[in-house]
Amino acid sequence: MTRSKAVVDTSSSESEAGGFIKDDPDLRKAPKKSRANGTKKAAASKRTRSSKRESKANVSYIESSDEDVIPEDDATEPPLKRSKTKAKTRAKAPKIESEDEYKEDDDDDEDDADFVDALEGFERDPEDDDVVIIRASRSREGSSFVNPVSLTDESDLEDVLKAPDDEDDVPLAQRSDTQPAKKPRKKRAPAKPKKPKVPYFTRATAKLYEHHPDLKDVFPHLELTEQIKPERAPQPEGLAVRLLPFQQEGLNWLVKQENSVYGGGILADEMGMGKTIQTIALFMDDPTKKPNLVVAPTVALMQWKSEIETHTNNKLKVGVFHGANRAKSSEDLSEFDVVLTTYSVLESSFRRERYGFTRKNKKVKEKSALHGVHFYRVILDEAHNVKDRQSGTAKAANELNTEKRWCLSGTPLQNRIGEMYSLIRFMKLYPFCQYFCTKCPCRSNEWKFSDGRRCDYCDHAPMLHTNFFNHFMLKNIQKHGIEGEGATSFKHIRMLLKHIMLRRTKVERADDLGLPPRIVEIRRDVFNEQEKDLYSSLYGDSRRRFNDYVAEGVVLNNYANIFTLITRMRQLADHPDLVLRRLGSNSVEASTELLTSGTIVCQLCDDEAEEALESKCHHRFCRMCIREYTESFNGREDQLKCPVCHIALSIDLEGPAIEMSEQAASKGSIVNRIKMDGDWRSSTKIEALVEELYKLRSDRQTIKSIVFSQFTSMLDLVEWRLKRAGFETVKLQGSMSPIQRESTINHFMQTPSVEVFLVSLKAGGVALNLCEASQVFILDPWWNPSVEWQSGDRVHRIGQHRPVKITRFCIEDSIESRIIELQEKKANMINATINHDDAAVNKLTPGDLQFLFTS
Amino acid sequence: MRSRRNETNEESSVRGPNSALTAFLREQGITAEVIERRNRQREEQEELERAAVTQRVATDANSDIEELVDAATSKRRAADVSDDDGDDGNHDRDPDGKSYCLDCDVEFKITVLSKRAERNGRAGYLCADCTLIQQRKARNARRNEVEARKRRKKVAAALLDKQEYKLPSLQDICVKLISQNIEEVDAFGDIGTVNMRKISKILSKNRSLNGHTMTLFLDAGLKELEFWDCSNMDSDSYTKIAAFCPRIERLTLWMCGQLHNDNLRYIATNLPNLTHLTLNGPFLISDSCWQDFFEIVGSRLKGFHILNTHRFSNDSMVSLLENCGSGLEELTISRMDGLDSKPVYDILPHYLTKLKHLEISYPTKEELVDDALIVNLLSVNGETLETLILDGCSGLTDATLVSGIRPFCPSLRKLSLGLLDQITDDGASQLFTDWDINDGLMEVSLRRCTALTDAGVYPMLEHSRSTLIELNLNSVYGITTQMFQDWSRNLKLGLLTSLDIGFVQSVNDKAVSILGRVCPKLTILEVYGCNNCTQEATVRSGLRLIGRQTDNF
Repeated sequence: MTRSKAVVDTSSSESEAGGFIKDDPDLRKAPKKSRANGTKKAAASKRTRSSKRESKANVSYIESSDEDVIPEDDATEPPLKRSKTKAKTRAKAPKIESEDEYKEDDDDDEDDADFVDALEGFERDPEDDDVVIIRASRSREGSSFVNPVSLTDESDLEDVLKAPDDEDDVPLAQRSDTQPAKKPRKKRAPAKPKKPKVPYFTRATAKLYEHHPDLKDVFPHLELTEQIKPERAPQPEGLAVRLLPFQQEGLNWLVKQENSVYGGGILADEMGMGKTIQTIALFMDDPTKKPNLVVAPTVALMQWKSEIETHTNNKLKVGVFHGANRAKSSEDLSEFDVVLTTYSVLESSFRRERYGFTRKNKKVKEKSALHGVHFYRVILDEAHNVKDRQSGTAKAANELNTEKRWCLSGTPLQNRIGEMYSLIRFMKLYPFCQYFCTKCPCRSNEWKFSDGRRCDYCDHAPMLHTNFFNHFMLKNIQKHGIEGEGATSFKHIRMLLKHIMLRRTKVERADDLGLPPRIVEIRRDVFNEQEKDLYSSLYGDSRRRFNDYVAEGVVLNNYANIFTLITRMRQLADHPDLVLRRLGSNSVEASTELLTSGTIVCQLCDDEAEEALESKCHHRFCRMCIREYTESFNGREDQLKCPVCHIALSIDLEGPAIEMSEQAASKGSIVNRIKMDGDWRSSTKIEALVEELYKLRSDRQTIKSIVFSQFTSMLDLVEWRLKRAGFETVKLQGSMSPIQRESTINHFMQTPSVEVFLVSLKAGGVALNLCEASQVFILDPWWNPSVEWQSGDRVHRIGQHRPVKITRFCIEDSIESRIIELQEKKANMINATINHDDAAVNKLTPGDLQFLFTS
Repeated sequence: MRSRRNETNEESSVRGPNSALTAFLREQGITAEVIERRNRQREEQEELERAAVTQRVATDANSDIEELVDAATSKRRAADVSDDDGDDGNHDRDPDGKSYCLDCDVEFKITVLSKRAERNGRAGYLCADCTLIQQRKARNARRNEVEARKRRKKVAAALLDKQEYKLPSLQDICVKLISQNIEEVDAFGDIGTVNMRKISKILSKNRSLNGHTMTLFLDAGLKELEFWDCSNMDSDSYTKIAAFCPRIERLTLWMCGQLHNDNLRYIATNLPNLTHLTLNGPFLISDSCWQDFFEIVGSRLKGFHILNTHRFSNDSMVSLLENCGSGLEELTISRMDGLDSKPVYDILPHYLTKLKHLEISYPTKEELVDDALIVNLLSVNGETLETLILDGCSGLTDATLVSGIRPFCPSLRKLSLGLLDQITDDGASQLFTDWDINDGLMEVSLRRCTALTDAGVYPMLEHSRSTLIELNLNSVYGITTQMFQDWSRNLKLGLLTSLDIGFVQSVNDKAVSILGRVCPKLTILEVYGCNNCTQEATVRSGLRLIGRQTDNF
């Protein structure tokens, strides 16, 4: 991987001068120009790029730790030679298409990755100070590949057409080959005008068909095969919940699909339509077929457990394979009807089996209990978790021993069509997931080039191998979009999906679902004077720096810095403390005092704790508050719950009081730095939220709300303010264990007096069912609308009987109003254009940035 | 208070949770020097703390002697800190090895239960009796403190409900108890409608109104029924309402997300006296069912309020108007996403002629409700109209005020123009200056009319000064301190009881005291987002300030 990529890069800078700009969206002009300006070796740009490359190279190590890891220096130097030699051989058979494609790839690779990563780095970062952010964005460049975050979760087939997958093994090989063909073509073009007209694709196809005649029939056969018509299945016995009509159809489809040649498929109903229930119905349809394995995100694990238990009246024996004291042997697991586990556990047990781990300085390999079981079916919940097929998780999933394979995902495609491949590979759909040699009948499931040069099976070079999915379904779309051959490929994909995927949308099934109306409103407020002063000074500063970047033409090189600026402005719109506390002495208000003095805040009385004690779950209380709390509890002792996270409470009431160290103060929550003596000032946005929540209160109804923010510090502040104002709240954080999470959610769902649920946008974006709440407040606007749509889906789902309202806060005279404008632009784009390049949706263009900084 | 056990604990380990290993290392004397130095510092600090605690206990005890020697204590303490070498074990014992109680000087034997104390700078132990007394005192002090903190929360929570924190009446306690155990109740018996309503509200608030509990409220003679949160009521329950209470005239169902088509048809046919129907969120009712419903009830329907459904379509509306339009006195259509036809809105004035209550709020698109429509409606219904709510119809401009409300609405009592950002000072002042045909409004909302300033608001105050009871000026950014000054000098709003002036930046402590003075009946003043309104504000007794940010402290 690494090597071939490096090849592409070095060679690309050579040939870049040849005009490919016409093919590319004008958005990308900036980076290209800067490259084109360079000399052939592009000294200047190479330097900047090579630095990027370094981080990239690291990335590759992370992703593909198993295969073809090549030290970096190795990767950059020798391939140069190689590409040249290849250029020679290639010169004889010039190929036209691949250039654009690869440039595009390369290009995307570059911008997309850097940019989006930077963006993700920021956005995902729970901490909110600049220093951390920069660091985070760097270190995350890799991790976001391994575990990419969805920017557009609702994205469908259509907005995923621009799908350059930067690490396609085969195409890369081709790229490095075909790349240098460009120059020769220029010279030869007048001499031999006719010959190169046969496109590479056609020739490769012909060769493929020649050696693999069975491939010819794949698509015609697909077209002729009738797809499964879902009919209403009867309610399975023993299922406690009544299936809705479309769910019955879903069950019918699941059963039929499982018995078809595919042995599984993708259930891609929109969020909140009961994929879980349909799956449980599938378990119950024939309970003798077991064991089943469900791999789910950590956050959804306990929900699966409780749903299976309640909906089947405990008829299925459920085992949770998670946590330190999980079962060790495969035999234990086989006893269960359903085994639940998480992606990370799956990945780690696979890693321990395959590559071993270090214990007492010795390399030890441990048998994976999961991989030792012969499952009847495996279900990947939120299957986009394996969308990066290079990731250990995807590999671990592929290695599971099972008969039937299912993927559940409301958003099977998030960013690019390439992601689909990972699912296809998991489901082992032949021949779509296989690699074929164009020279001989060799075919394989894996990209096996142990020495990097020769196929392990047929000894042919990597460039002669191609992947069916890539070749017939992906590359042409990347190259042509939805025209010509791209359209054919697109048709192929659709055809395949029709046979393996069932997707129903809420709109289609509105009558069945009986969903309440959903209203989205933007509440616009204005800064008060002090905030405005603060903001305009920060904004002026930021704008000056941005304009400097523009003047120097280095906007693209400074995404990280620019995002720091933007993030700060967004935080300032939330509450000045989010920014000021780390800016140090040169800030407008000297916050040094805040930095040094930390107070422990009791989480019962929300005041400075006196004789603070810490519970086992790391929550702190005054000694007397927690004593009072435990003494006033009347129930059984083992039911005593932590008042914060609602798991069993364990605290030493007689223990010595803890004290706040300086270090802990700087690390701790922002609330610890609030001065409790009355100097603390709220912000317009927090007050607006408090007012909204206050207005919802009445003596005759309880209307529960969810509050989303991207900044955990903001949530801390909000929580503190709300509690002091008399609201009962619960908070969900990314750091919570599944049990804490579950009990927190239950506490919210079952206690009428708890009105507010605080969630960070990332922690609560998926797999959270909160239909007791009917109001959603989104404190800070997100770059693209789909994440916000998704958060609305936490409450707008089956089981919701109250009208749903989503309120988005926006400070009118801040950067937020511009973000909202951008967002609307994107929403329109998503809604209006079906086949649009979604890369533009996913990332901010330089133009967008410019827009944010124009006054 | 620190027990002796704690003391030893602290000798061996450290503050905060600590690992056994660390403790062990410490014991072994690794980095002994550092530790010693730290120990000394810590002990000094402890001494300080202990002194502080003692002092607090002392003040709680209120003993005279303590007061007398207070000054001396502090001096001694200062001395203590400087020369205390950490061997305070010597303090509590006389040289002869006998122990004397620090408080009563009786000779006693120190046990592990003996309490350590400090008096007048002397540290020592207390005898068994005095220990008991001290413990009791400490417990009381602690309870008081806990109570205070708890009460502060309750006060805050009560404020959110616009209530004062006070002891509940016996009646309220009974009602609460009944509501908590509602599943056990078979029948209420004769507890009166007021209590029934109270219980009904509490059940809705507790989310415990369901198919079982709702039957408790059903009675054959019932004429009016209100359920505020019906989300947990299944479809059968709705049928029960109509089956058990055939004489119902007014039916109010909120959050009726499970109300089905069949239920509504059943209600229409089995409640012959039904004249007023309020439904919030009946989103399962289909278009054709609405049409059936209106055909059945016909002109006996006098009041129809519907909120929050997207299934109420243009055709449903036409059917409502054709079948019931002539009889309607009250109409509410709020947040109806299914109504998106301008012509349908435009035919409203053709059918509606004797409205007393009209609410058209939050239409799907702002152009659906325009000035011409409202002016037409008012010209027909103005004589009788008492309530006009046009929140969120942001397509409206001054023309509505000037050519609609001013000439046609003599009996208007409640006017709500929330979120109408096109209303300007011109229109407002034209409407309210010398608006003689109207004797004054009782409720006015200009919430988020962001274009208004003093020049528009003040004429309204002048016009309705003697009648105004509720006023909402939330987020009318243009209000300045000048207006409060004018208000203070020239106006007295004798009846005003509730005022929302949140997010108006010019509200400061002075404005609060002015409002307290010029509005003698004012009991609720909402000041969310007014950051200039601080703890220092003089708040008249009886006036509750809600949303002041510093109330936290």
